[in-house]
Amino acid sequence: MNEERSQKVAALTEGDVAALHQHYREKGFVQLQSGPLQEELKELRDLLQSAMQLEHATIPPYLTGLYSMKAEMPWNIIGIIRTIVVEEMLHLLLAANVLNAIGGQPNLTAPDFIPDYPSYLPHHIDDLIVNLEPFSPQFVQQGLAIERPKYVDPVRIVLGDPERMTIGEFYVLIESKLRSVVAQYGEAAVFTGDLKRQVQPDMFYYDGAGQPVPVINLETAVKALQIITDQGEGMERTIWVGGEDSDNEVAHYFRFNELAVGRQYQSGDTYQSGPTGAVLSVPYDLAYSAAVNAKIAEYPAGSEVRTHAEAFNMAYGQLLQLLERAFTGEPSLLLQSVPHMYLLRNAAQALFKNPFPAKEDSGLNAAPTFEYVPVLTGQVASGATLTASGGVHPGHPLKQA
Amino acid sequence: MNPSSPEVTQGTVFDVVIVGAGITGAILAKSLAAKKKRVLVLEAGTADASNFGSYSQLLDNFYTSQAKIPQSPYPDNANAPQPSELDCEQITPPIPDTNGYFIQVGPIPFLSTYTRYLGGTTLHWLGTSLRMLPDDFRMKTLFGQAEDWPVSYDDMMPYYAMAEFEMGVSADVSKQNYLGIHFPPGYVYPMHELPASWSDKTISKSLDGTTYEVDQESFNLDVINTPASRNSIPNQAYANGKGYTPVGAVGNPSLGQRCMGNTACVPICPIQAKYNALKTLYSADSEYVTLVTQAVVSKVEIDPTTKLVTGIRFKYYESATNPNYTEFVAKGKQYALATHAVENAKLLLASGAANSSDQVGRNLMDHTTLLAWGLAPEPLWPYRGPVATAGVEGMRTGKYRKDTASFRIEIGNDGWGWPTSGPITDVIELVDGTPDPATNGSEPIQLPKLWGKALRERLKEQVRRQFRMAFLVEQLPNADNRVTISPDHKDALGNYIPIIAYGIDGYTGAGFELGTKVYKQMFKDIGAVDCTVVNSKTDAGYFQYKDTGYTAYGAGHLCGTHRMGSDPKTSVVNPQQRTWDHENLYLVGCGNMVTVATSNPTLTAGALTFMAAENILASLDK
Repeated sequence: MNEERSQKVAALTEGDVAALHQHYREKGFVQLQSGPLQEELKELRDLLQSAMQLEHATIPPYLTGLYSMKAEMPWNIIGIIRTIVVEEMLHLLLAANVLNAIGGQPNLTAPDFIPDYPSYLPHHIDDLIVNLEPFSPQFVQQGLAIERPKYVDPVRIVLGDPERMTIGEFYVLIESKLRSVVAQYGEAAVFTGDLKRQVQPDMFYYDGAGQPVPVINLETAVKALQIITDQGEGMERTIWVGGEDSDNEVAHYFRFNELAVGRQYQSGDTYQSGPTGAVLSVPYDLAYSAAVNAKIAEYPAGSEVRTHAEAFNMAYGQLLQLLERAFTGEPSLLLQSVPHMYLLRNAAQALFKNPFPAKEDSGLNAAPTFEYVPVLTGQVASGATLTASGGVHPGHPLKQA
Repeated sequence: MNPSSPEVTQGTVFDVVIVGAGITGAILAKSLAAKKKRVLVLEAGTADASNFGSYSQLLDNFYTSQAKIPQSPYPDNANAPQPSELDCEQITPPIPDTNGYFIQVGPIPFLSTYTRYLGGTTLHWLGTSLRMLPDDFRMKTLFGQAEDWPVSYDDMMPYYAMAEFEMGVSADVSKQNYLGIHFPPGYVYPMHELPASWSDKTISKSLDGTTYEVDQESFNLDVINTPASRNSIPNQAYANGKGYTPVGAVGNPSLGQRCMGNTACVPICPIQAKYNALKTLYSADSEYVTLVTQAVVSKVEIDPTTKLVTGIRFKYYESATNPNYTEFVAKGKQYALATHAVENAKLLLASGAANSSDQVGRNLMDHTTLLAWGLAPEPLWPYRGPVATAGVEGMRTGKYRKDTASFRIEIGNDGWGWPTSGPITDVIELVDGTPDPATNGSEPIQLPKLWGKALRERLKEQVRRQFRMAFLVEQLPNADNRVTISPDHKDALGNYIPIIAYGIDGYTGAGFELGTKVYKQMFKDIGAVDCTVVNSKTDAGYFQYKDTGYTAYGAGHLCGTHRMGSDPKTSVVNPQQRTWDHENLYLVGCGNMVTVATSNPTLTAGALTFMAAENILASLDK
């Protein structure tokens, strides 16, 4: 199949390429030829599972930045990172809804679902290595690199191999494949998923990010995918999500850029102009200095920090299990996962407040490691059982740094 | 909308001059501006809450205050002073209590407060948004008590819906249609109800299905989710399928679109997921609304011949710490006072306005609150979720109202925060080794002084089982419960200080007696240890009824001081909420309420204000 496509691309004339670019510029997707239905669906399901992994892969890094902030960090700085990470959570859900709509099986509990940081993103998307690091200038630069609006080469979409695509190309590939398979086989053959698996708008509201989009056909699938890319990189011709309006927010890249430049965007600003609004002071010293890409193995056995880092990882694994169940037929569990997230926050902050054991001289504090641990099915019924299961003791007073 | 300088009020005749920028002033301003009427809003307090940066400062005040009382985030401003919960103590008439802003004549101190800031008391309110019962509008007809309202529940229905939209109420209709409350077919609230707390669910296991009997009438004690102006999950079916978009924090709109359960609704929601009036004010059309803060109105000026209001005299101060001021008079075609029950009355009395009935300042009411607190047999995990998410509503009306005050029962998620200022006081008491609270009436046992692990274990054991219930007991309008003024009592700007005479009558006393029996039955059904303490020496709201001592707490529901009615001899405003005496002067807010009823009054005040806005528009277009 891929070979076939390679040959096809090799055969493209300059005129063909120009036509591809023009079509993409006008329509936002590329016209593809579909292969056999089952093969196409399998490819799409794999791509959407990768999309979930991709959206998730940014969550531990962003949470690390968020949780490393001290309570004294100004609300507007906290708010920038918080809104971004909440939107990534919505994107994870939207990718799951699209995957479910085409009869896929979201999997959040495979050992490789959480990247082993430092790590490439799935399929080496954007050719970027992502680290777990506390809020710092490096953290902001990483955010810019992840969210920077990327070039889309429609020829690569025709080629079809997601490996080392830009994130923009990756989502154009999914949309283009969906469109072509629907064009060839009809919506009924593609959108065969169980409607009960769709997370509905009434089931969860993402504070500031918006609502779940139930995916039932091509139109809603494209809408869900567009929310992911619009909130991330921004829409064509504007840096604002949902159009230029003082009440709207700029896309993720531009929010990171506000931190990098130390100035807010205002109405009329563009990608080229950069932010020209009010000065934004970013007190990096109000975040803990902590180890980058810390690993459990680095924490001495028996140390309190190690116990808490292990408990954090167990809790994170349980959360992913809860989310997997929410995305595979028990959507009401999504709301119940919220208390679980609070426990994670408390556990992470307990780690950040404490010196890295045996490395006290470095001046660095501990950090959560976000490493995979197997969680037995049914080990966690809901957030409320977490403490009872011996996982995390919220707010347990470790000694202060 | 940034506050303007006071000079902008000069040389312009506004369509409407509104005094007060709390919820009722904001609703009026927004409604009138939407119809392209030019509106001036004068606010006595500062705009400290109006952007999220300065709002964060108020939040810090709360974090660092010792007593987490409703006023703790909002420092007193000598130029626009306000009452505080810490001011009240027992009164021995005829010596008044002058500790705080009010001159309290007694016999019982008035225990409730309000906030003189832009945004008003909605900054510190709880957010409970219950509708009144149809019976509540007909107290005289049904129970031979107080007065009927000149409007009915059915008259109020469309306005309740407007208020529920503006305030963003979360509730499920299927649980709110009790005791005669009804909704138009297909009506849904803007957002789904907030999830019940663990405590609600646990308590409802013991109470659901139980009843209490009064004079052969049986009352249902089911635990019911409370409608709240607090952001939840939007209901897709709202407005015939158009849905609803939650309104976030003023100046930080992506925050607060969903309640995060900080359990700090009172005194300050850290994320503004709870409605406050700033949301209404800042969504008003700023082209039509002029806002001046730090503008304390001292007089409503009236033409002695025509009885028309000719202007609003106000004192503009530059700084809360400096009593220097400049005086201005603002002019409008119509005027509306929206400064809450006590300040509206004070201002009318100071102006000699609207008082041909001699009812201005009289009939001051609150929900005198009976608190009952205890230790549940199992952990209820307080301090998770909003301060209250459920209540027992089954006793809000019944035949017993002929001689006994009715009540609703709010179930808190805030442990003993209200009655004992726990859990801070728990720590102090355990460290000092004070008597065991859980003695259930028997001789107190002196506890050993605790520290370290034993202290932590004991705290954990105790605090997680703490809960309280608040019985919001109805109070009848009483002409002697009143606000007056005297030239002897003025504030830093030379404005009058309210003098309050206040007492609790036998009707309300009977409600306390009944409430006490009901709570004892409920505690028994829950298996809770009753830790309620009535201290005849130190409780500011201590009173006796039939030789039994009770303590009343303030609910912050100030009502009735300029009531509406159909008879100019016994009411201050007519059913259009216009003063009987002045054709261009409207009064809005809880002061218009004829009775305090059995619901927290803010939603009703909001609904009445939407009604008043229509009447003011009609006056302007005449």
